[in-house]
Amino acid sequence: MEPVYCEGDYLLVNRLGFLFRRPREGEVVVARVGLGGGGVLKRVAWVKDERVFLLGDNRGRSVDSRMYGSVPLKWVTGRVWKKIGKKAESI
Amino acid sequence: MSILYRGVRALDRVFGFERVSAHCDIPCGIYDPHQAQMAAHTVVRMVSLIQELKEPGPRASTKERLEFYHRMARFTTLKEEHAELVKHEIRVLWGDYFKPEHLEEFPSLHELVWKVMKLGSGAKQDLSVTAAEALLEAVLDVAEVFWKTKGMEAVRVKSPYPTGGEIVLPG
Repeated sequence: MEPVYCEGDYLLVNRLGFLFRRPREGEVVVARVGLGGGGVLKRVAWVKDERVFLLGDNRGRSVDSRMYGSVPLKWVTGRVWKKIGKKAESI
Repeated sequence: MSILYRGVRALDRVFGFERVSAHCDIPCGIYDPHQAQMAAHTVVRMVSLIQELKEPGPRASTKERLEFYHRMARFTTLKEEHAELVKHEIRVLWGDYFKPEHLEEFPSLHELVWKVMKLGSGAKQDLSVTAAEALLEAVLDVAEVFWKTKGMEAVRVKSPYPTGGEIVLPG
């Protein structure tokens, strides 16, 4: 997800927001798609019915929904709300 | 590194925040064109072995005839299987690994993969070293593109196999 999110950054994740509404296109979310239940950080490409298609920002290197397909909405656990970057600048 | 970051990091050390990954996530994309290259070399080798086989003469014994047919069948089977393996391996790279961004960088990719498919079938039908080597060459081309999309140098070196041909390694 570079250059926006880099290795070592801390993220404040809103875990409650998606209880009230669906993820929107372009939002950066945390989802549990790993076979071992590990969380991943991806951008929402689209939401349809109960499925969400996730993409990494670096299309050339990212392993995302293009490889594992759209994922159930309930796998999306939170929305990235704030970043505390390792590098000085903050967004 | 800001004071805020240092503060959060200190908290992380105490409480251990959850980690998420953002680049290459599970299912981890482990791809390598090595298997395809080995299989292509095997095809070349099998064609050579078949050609080197000595046909039993009119006075050959039953045992000699059986041995000939047996070996011929084994070499041919292996040639068929490995030509198919080449096609399978390249199809996996093409379908699962390569992405539209790679195609932008290497516009000839589709054509290259297509070429491997055609030459793979050709190597099954033919019994010529030329056809087998053409397949190997096309596979090496795909391997080169593969390593370049990984941001690595693709180096052609002489293979250690009896075929004497080359293999492409990441540099």
